[in-house]
Amino acid sequence: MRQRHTGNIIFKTGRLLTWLVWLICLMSGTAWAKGILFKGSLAVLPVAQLVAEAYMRENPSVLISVDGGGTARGIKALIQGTAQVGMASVEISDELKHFADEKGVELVFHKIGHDSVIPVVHPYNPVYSLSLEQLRQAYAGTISNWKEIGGKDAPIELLTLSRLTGSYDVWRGYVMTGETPMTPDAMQCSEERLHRLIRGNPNAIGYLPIKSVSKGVRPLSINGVYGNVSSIMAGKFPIRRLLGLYVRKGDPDPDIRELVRYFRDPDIGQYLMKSKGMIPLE
Amino acid sequence: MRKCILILGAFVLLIAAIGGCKSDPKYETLLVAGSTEMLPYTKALVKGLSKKRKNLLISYDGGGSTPGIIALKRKAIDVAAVSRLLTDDEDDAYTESFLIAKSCIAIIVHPDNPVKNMTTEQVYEVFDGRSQNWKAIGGNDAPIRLFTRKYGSYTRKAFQKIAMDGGVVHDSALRIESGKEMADAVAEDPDAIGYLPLYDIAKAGDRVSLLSINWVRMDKYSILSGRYPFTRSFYYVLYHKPPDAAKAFLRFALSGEGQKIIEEMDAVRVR
Repeated sequence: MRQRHTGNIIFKTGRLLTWLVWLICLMSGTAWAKGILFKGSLAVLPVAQLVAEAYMRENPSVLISVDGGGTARGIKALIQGTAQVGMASVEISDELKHFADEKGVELVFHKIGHDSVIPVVHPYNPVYSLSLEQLRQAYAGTISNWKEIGGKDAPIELLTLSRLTGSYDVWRGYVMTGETPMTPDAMQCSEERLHRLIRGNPNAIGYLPIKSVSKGVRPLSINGVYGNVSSIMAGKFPIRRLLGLYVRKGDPDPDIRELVRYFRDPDIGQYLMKSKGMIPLE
Repeated sequence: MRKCILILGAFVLLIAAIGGCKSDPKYETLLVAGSTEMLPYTKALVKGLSKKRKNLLISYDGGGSTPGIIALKRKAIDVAAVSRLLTDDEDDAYTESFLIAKSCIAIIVHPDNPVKNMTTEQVYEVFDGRSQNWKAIGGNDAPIRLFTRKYGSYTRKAFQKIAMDGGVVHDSALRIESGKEMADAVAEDPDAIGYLPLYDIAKAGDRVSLLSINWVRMDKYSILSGRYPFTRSFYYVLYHKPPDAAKAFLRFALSGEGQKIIEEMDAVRVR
């Protein structure tokens, strides 16, 4: 009889305590606020922005911010807890894996699609295909005349995208194989400028994300394979990079799970990816 | 009965402990510095937190985002206010960047101007004087009258950084003292173009028309997502082993109360 009486007191005290703590929290202004930050890869950014806006319109109490900074920065922020989703276009580095272990954080990767970059030349350029090796040598500066790779006797005028872009990363990783430095003679420009310069110069070569390969420039095949959505999805085109989202394993936030689902949904994220010239999953 | 007293006693001790923490008589100081653009928000947040923590002395200053990060890493300040992403060199294992607000700069024209959208390239070309007639961008055959803010204005600095790739507004632009006057000037001139930061836009109301940029309309969602091109992101950055006071400042900035302060100052809250 005494034990049951005591049990009741403990129970009631517990409830009183919980209520008091909650009241203190409320009064101190830490009322529940919902903010999610996507941070990381510029390659994922365009579709993340669209998905974020679509989600916010469906869920007005959730605020989603999207930031760039590159894959590594995004994963780092995720590990530190200053971001909730890391947008990634490369697999997590060993350094960051170690950092995650140090902080006791486990990460999960959800793939959402692919991207690629396509080498482009002027429509009158007689060269239709190059090997990966030839592209590498051209961008390293060891091949400097088109006649060395089946073209006219004219200097190869190299164009590259800004080092801060995901496209530059892809080119560096897949064409320069991450080791060969790009010659400083390659002129850095924006996508718009690169497109314009190619259109106006039969000796120019550059590269663009697939969505930006439009009229006025001709895409080059690599090893005889033409780069389009199907050849990229089939893995036949040699430049193809996996895109995805890192989240904390077991993140209890239902919005995070739902957002990942949005990205992978054929009618939402996957459709938006296609609209942005990215390669969907299936 | 004895067990009851023990439990009640423990409860009282717990409340006393919580209460005791709150009235620690030791003084704490905190130094926040960096972005001059963020100063009004820093000031308001400092004010808000100081009211709750009477024994916390907070000093805040400008100086610029870049010097702020340098000072932070030298441990000369506790929190750096930064109005951009950290560069690859600045970002290291110890930096912790907290996004606390977003803002933006709108391009404004007269409501009767048929031009409703400009690309980012067109904005650059118009403001640096390369495009001088509205018809070059699909508008009326009329000279473009540029308006800018006076030299030294944070808004002007921010505008030139994000809309002109660091370039400068053409000399022919009329220099305006404040956001309010900028809105007034554009509202009265059908051939005018200018720019306004978010916190001046609400007051300008229907008197000016906000252009969409790259066909993206400026609204809360496109600012948060960053799809609207002239968006500003505001961060507070902590460094290695930040003092409790610095963590408390960040917690406050990200709390419901702190974010409400951000909202009341016409920036976009992120939580």
